[in-house]
Amino acid sequence: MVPMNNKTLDRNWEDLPPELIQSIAKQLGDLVEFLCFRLVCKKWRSATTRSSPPPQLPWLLNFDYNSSTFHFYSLSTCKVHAIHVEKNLGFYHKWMTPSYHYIFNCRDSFTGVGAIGPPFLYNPLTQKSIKLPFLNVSYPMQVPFLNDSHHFPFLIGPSSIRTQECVALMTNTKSNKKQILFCRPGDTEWSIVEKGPHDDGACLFYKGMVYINMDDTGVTKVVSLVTNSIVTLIPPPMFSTGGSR
Amino acid sequence: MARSSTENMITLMSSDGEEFMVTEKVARECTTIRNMLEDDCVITNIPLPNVTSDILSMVIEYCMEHVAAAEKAAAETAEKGSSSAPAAAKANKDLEEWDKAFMNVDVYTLCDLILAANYLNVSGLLDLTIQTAANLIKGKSPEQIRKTFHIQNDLSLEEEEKIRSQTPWAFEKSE
Repeated sequence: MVPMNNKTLDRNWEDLPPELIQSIAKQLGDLVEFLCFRLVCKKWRSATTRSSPPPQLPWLLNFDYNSSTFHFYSLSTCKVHAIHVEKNLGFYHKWMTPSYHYIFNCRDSFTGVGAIGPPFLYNPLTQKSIKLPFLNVSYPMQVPFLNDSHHFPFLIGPSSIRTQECVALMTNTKSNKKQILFCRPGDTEWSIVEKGPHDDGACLFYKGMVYINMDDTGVTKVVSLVTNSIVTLIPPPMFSTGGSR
Repeated sequence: MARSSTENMITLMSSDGEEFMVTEKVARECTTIRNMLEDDCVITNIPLPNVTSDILSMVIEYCMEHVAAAEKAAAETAEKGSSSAPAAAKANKDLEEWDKAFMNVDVYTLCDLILAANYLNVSGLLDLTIQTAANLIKGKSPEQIRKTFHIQNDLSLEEEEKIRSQTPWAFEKSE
């Protein structure tokens, strides 16, 4: 142990002011680390609340339908974890990486595996799910983009899901055109973002705006989800002539 | 630039009575001190009863380094009319390296630095120390975190078991 000399002030980690403990917790990588952090001691536990986890790095998910278990690889802890879920939840096949601590789940209509029902968000902390409107399109292609004020595009806050925030995702239609859909909690159906089509894969969702990069022209469309109209078009970055296409 | 020779010096006094003479510019890196100076511009001697001399000297070292880096960048910009991006990127990288080396301290010192950065309101140092603490936590089990930070587990066996059983997937020893 380091001897305490007479210059030493109070320097116990458990006695840090709550706001500083919270600041540290906010810098953690995902839910697993946050839960471990909260189990360290009473002070650290009481300084943080379960509803304010740090911004979440994506998990790489794999769901085993037979055992109702999904395994995920945490990019932050570099470990594989397994979450067992209730069988009677009617879990579908297609799981998508969590945004904040919600995991998006919907039927995989490509393989047809899984029960038929509306997609939902699943919270592995509370084992509660939030139903979303029925998704009457072909299979989703990309992780949902859950809005949050963080820099990371895949995030949502537990409080924000109840307010103006929403879920957006990109899908393939039958004619193989891509569409971007979104819904807000409480919506009865999904809305299509700006007519489209968007024949490309690059799409970000940030602070209520969808940024769609179009493959053919390189132009980035910025669409507001509030008005569902194009706010601005960002020209492609300048490439030196003769560069790769 | 001409000001630097005549710049005001401020004396900061640590909790154990040691005095540190710093330029006003360095002292102003601490928002808490900057606010004091703005309220009362003739102040020259500031007692800091919450900060020991060991820690205060480190905070001053950090502030001096960052003031010097900012001055250097400003001087280069003034000289060339605009800052060159590669030079600015290199300066940033150098400062980052310096910060990293500066954070090579034991957990007790780190704790003191967090408290001092918070008290003196040095936002850059607070961010740096908080991030360093978080990095020490990442990827560790609760037991490993307690060991790293010398924290006593004050949760009862029952409490701990109950918490673990709510989300067992977060605590299992995995491959």
